[in-house]
Amino acid sequence: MKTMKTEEIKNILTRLFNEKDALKNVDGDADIFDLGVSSLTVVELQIKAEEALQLETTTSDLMRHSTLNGWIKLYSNLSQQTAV
Amino acid sequence: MQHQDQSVIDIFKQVVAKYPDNIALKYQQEQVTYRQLDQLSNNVAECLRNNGVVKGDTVSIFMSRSINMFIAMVAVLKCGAAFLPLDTNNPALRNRFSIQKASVKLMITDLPCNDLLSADLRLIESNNNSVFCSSLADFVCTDTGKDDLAYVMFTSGSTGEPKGVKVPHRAIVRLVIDTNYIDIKTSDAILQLSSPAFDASILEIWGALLNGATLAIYSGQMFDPNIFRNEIRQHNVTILWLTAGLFHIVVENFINALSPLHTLLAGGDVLNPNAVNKVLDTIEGITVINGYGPTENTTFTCCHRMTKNNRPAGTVPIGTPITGTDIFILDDQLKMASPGELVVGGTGISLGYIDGNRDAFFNDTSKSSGLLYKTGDIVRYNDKNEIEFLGRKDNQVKIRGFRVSLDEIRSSLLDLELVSDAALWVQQDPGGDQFLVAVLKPVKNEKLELSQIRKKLAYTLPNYMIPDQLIESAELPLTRNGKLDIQSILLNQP
Repeated sequence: MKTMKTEEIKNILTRLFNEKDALKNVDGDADIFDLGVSSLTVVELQIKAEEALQLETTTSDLMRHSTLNGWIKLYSNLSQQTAV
Repeated sequence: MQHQDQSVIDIFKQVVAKYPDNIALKYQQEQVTYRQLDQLSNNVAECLRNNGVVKGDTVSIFMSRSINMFIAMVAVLKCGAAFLPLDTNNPALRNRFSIQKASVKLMITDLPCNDLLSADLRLIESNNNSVFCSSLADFVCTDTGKDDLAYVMFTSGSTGEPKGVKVPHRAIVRLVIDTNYIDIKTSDAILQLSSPAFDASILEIWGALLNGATLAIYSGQMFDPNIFRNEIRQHNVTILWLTAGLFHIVVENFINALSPLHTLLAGGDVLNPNAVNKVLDTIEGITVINGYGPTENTTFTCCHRMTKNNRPAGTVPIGTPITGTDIFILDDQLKMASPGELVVGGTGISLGYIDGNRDAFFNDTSKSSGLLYKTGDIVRYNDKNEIEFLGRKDNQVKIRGFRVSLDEIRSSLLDLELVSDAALWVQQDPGGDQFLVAVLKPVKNEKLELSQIRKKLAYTLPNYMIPDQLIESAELPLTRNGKLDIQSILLNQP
């Protein structure tokens, strides 16, 4: 599988986050749970992100890395591991 | 003897005798037949009895989802006791409250639980405990009748405290045996996805175990779409319950995960008819059931079955009463009226609350021989004589399938340091799902740290009761009608 560059992952995740009112133009280091994002929204974002990125992680990992930058890093690492 | 006159354990023993080699439980790569479940639960029941558990006791179950959890539940009922399932994600304070209110003397656990312990609470740990791995061929079950207590489950209370609902054996039997909304076969597999402390789990667990079907135990600690899809396929799940919010997300983004199902039940909040139609158009031959009911009348009161030939149009009704259910639509003087408040009775009605408070329960022999319960839900008949849900009568709302008292949340907000007043309301997102917004007024000249407040609330409230959006406002302005001026609060936000 082709490795996805961090920049591509960042663009996709930023677009998906911007589709949610509570996450529009969110600071990359802001904790999304402090912004009123529910666990259901995390699941919804995860499904959309993984369809676009063709990568899979666990919801619990995404909950632990609950910032936009945290997600970018998580999926970037996964993308590199998948390509190895 | 008719099924409706028997206890859960009477029927379970008949299922074991009839289908001993059917798979009762599946969890990841493990599986347990009905004969094995019977004999494993015999051994645990013997251990419980040796630890003093007798008829009328309540045993709490604080366990991660596993085969042992269901062995424990069956074992408790075999002793004539009732189980109190605790949500392991709930704050310790809330679980401790439930344990104390239900006068629990013994708890079965496989998790760290120091913060739940008290001097008079005994523990049986199931991890690495040979009691849970050993079989006992024979155990004389305690004689249990249909009206005896089977479980206690807590719901949000308008008084600011959760209320423990006492549910008897007959109510579980009425939910899953010889009923009109579903026919569960031995070939079915039901996914056990709901929190065991949420009453949809009663449908999942006993729908499988009292019909000789398989209970496929979801292995994730939380909803994870990848585990969900894989385990539906791996265990050939045919019947699934989803709360409305999850139903909408799965249908919108992940519908192919549902392809092995023949029956999808959803409810706990209003279902979007477009989402129901999408399921009917995508999954060949599927039946979608809108399930409605308060915990006080055991999971379902009414159901509405939908197929390709019976699609929803406009709104999705809550349908018609399930077998064994009496319903009345009444005005404040308890006279027939539509629209009106839905009042329910029949064999699904619970025994009331553990604190003896009658609250919305009452007797009226002209309507029903047993207790009646005022649901607080305003409903009406449509032109097909189906019931439609219109809204709540009181200050309670449904969030992610849970009935939530806004008064109880407000009470927790007011307990916070630096909060002098608070108000809450419910908003709908574009998908139609409801979320909670709270506005907090700080004490004079103080500033609130909203992220800290969210963390503090997590000590007392379960996740679904923590407001999704917290707003700080120096005042709680009112409209000319004396209602909270939500628009003004929102307009003044940065």
